[in-house]
Amino acid sequence: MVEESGIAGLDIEEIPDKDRLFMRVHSNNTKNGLLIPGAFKNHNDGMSTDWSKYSIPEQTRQRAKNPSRNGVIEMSVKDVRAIPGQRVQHTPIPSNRAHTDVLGEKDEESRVKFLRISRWAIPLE
Amino acid sequence: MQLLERKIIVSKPYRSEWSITKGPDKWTSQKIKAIIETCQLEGLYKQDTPLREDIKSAIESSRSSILGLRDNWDDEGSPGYTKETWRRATLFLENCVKWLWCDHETVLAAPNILPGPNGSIDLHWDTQKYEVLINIPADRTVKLGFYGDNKGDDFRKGSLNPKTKNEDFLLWLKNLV
Repeated sequence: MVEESGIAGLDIEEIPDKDRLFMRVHSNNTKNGLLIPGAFKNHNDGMSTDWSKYSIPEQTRQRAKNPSRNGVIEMSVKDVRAIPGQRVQHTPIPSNRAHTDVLGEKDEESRVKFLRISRWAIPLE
Repeated sequence: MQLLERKIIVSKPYRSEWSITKGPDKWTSQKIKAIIETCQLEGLYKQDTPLREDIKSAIESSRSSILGLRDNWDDEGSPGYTKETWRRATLFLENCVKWLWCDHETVLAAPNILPGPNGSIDLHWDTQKYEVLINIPADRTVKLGFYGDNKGDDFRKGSLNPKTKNEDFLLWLKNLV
């Protein structure tokens, strides 16, 4: 469902629970190949992810400043919404229609729970 | 009052070795205990029970892995880590380990000591029975945050004061491990 027009006239859409979110993870946010809780943090207002409707994991990886040093994880939208205090908000930008913020404080509880619902879509090289 | 002899090692800047065989009457055992706890909190007192090797190893390996991360270590502008934050994190861990052992004879496994958000440091235990995350902020005036559960219904979250023993938290942790 289209709610309103966002930046540069891009439509902001309601993201269904059945979809997935992709997020880049830098190699320094892993230990022995495993994700660490510090990977989950807000940049400004929210945690930046890409909506699976408009992105595939490789596109998410290529948006990194240094793609070779990043992997990509995926999370189900339903699982993200089940974490206390977290909201999923489509926030498209001109260079990335898939851009989606996960809003809400990334406290210790939420970071533990993000770890539990995350799976590698593209493991680190 | 009979006081047992006990050697106390005090590190810089109060480096000296002294022992108490007979204290004046005003030096009650509670007062001596309070002095020792204060020294522990300030990192001045090293109990004669040494840290276990796995804890020492986790602390030592985190020194280079965390302090080696400079500003923009994730290509997304995250700040690097200060030695002061790292020392507060490892001192808090040392105190938890020693208090659990000395007061409750409970062995706390070595956590992962990890880079956290915004220059903070995370202590993370993830075992088959429980998962606990404690965050030590870069700002020393901010309390430590924590969350933990038994991977079931028993969970705790809140804040910890690094200048106190956090007895309730330690008792809960003791029951988890």
